[in-house]
Amino acid sequence: MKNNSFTKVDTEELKLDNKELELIEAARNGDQNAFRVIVETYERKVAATVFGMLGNRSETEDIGQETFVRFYKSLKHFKCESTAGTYIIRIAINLSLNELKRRKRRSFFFHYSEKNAFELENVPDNTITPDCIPEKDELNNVVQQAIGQLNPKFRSVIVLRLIDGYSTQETAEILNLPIGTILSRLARAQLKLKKILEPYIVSGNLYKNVKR
Amino acid sequence: MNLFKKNLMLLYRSFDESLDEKRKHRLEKALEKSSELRKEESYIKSQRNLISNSHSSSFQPSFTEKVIEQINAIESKSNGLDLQLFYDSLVSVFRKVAIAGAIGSIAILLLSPGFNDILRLEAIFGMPDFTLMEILSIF
Repeated sequence: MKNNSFTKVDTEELKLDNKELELIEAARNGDQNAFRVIVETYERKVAATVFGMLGNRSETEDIGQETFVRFYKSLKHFKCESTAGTYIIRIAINLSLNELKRRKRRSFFFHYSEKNAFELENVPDNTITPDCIPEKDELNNVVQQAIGQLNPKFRSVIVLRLIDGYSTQETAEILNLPIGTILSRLARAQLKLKKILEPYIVSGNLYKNVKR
Repeated sequence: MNLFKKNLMLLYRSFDESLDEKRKHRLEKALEKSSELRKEESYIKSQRNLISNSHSSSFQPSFTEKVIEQINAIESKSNGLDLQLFYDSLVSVFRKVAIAGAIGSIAILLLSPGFNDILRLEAIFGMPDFTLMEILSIF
């Protein structure tokens, strides 16, 4: 594989100056460094998507890796009709939905709780002051568990729109659904989340942490 | 669906799409009139903020390296596969050429006029050279 001198660029920059096309073309021609830049550029967004969809479990990282491997395999057929980011996130969402189906099948044969997937691992970290980390963990835990209780079709719109920050139009493109469906799913998902999160938000126990 | 629910759904949609003037006006009027709807608006903002600010999970630092390793494994596997395919197709082509060559050689030998004088059937099979009349006379 060839190695050109590509450096990490942010997503916005990619969209603006056609650098993305250049990187894809280079990666298509076997430039490993160009593909590395693509991975580094979209890694965080893919992480937010798969962790949002699947919770914090060992297979979540595998799904993240598989996302980029699938993108690499499809580079030859990638027509640049959508941005690489949209395409990669679409792969991540589809793989996550497949994984959720697998979990559902597994839960039929074995006693497997989807709720467990959304429990955060509390890894002690000496660099973080004790007065803020339990609150942040608590915040993430409650929100992740609430999202984890949603049906996958509602979960995917919440993850894309509210966690990844995609516009309604982009969310519709990624999920290949009409905007009307996205809007109605978003409203219904938020109403479902309200039932779980309202006690925390109204009491102010969690919301005070968000404001900081 | 009652009016409050209709306005509530409109309120939810207003966060994710730009409403046309008519619906915008309707929502503004409803918000002015209903304290419950204003409370909902405030709640929706809080909930959306809460969700947007969560999820700081990220992959292991070695994530990119692992992806590249997997890609290298695929590449080397596919290169090996390409080489095997090349050898297989080469063998297949040679087999066809060999068969065609053998058939061609036999045809040339059989059709060449000089060949008939050198190799006659009675010489090959150790049989006398019968004429048609001789064969018929047997029956």
